[in-house]
Amino acid sequence: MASSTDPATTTRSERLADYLERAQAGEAGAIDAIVRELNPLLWHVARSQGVPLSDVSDVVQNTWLELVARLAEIRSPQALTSWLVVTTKREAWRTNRRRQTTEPDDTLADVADEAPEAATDLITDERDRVLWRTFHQLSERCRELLRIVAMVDRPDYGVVGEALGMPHGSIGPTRGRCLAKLRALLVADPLWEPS
Amino acid sequence: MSRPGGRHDHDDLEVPGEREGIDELDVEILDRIAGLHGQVDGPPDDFDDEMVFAVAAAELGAELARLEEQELVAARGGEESIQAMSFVASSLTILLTITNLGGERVRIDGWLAPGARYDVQLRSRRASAADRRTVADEAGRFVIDRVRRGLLQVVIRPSSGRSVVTPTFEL
Repeated sequence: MASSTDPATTTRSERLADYLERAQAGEAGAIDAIVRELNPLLWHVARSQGVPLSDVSDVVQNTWLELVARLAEIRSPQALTSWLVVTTKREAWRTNRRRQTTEPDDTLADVADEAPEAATDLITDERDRVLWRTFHQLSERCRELLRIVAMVDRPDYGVVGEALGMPHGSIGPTRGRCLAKLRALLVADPLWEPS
Repeated sequence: MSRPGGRHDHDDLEVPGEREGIDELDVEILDRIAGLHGQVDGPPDDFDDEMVFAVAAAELGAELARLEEQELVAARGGEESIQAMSFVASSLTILLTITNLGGERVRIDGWLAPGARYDVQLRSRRASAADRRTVADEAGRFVIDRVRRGLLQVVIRPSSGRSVVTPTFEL
């Protein structure tokens, strides 16, 4: 897409503001740019809500189609990001509930989907292995928050924490409880040496 | 899993450093968390294209028709295939009945309620398959014959007002 918005020199927030304005003006292709910018975030939101791999496409796609329906109501890039996070969460919840009622025996697959120990074998960097192991000592809510916050740009940390309903343990402008806890565990671990 | 307003599983003891500003080490930790999740549980390569395809035909303001029900039948090789599916939007219900024609082809019998002469577009993600278009009759019925199996999507356009779009579905 021809664009004045060069990903190398602008922040995500600036790019999203530009795409949003053009999409709302009806420019074909501008919505695609929003999708490509925030799609990985929505993937991780869905996965952090326990959505099995087979259902992630449905969850995220419904979110994007809901956005198309409601695009006119979105006022800013921050509002866009937090609206997408909240909507993905709601769609995930809807899909999980639907699956539980139609396939009550399907729970084993979900657990198998998520084994962090198995994943450790895939991680080659030693510090990453320490981080991964330590990360999984945190509460489920802290893991959810940090996984999703890690996917967004710094100015959006706060709105995303709020969108997840977790202002209390949240991040930005201060470190927040979840990140402080993880950091303290890491710093106390002799295998984790700050670079 | 998370609860709105949930303070419950955070004890009220303050964690040292939680009120400090974010520094380089915090940013490094978050970057590594993002990288690790991308590596261990990231989206497939095709994910962006798949989502872009799903929104490509939806005009601004188009209403999403959610999948309500699908009926499966046993097909060759023990796999299941879809025999009927319904999608519901606030203004329209879409019912599709699928007949296997063999050789990767199906016939789709559609019924839109309330019935009217809507424009019907069937999109296929196969690069070689052109979109199929037809118009429903007064009762909202339409047929699209010899459709190649694959990832499909239906877009319904009334003569005036919002169009209605289904999620993509695999036949």
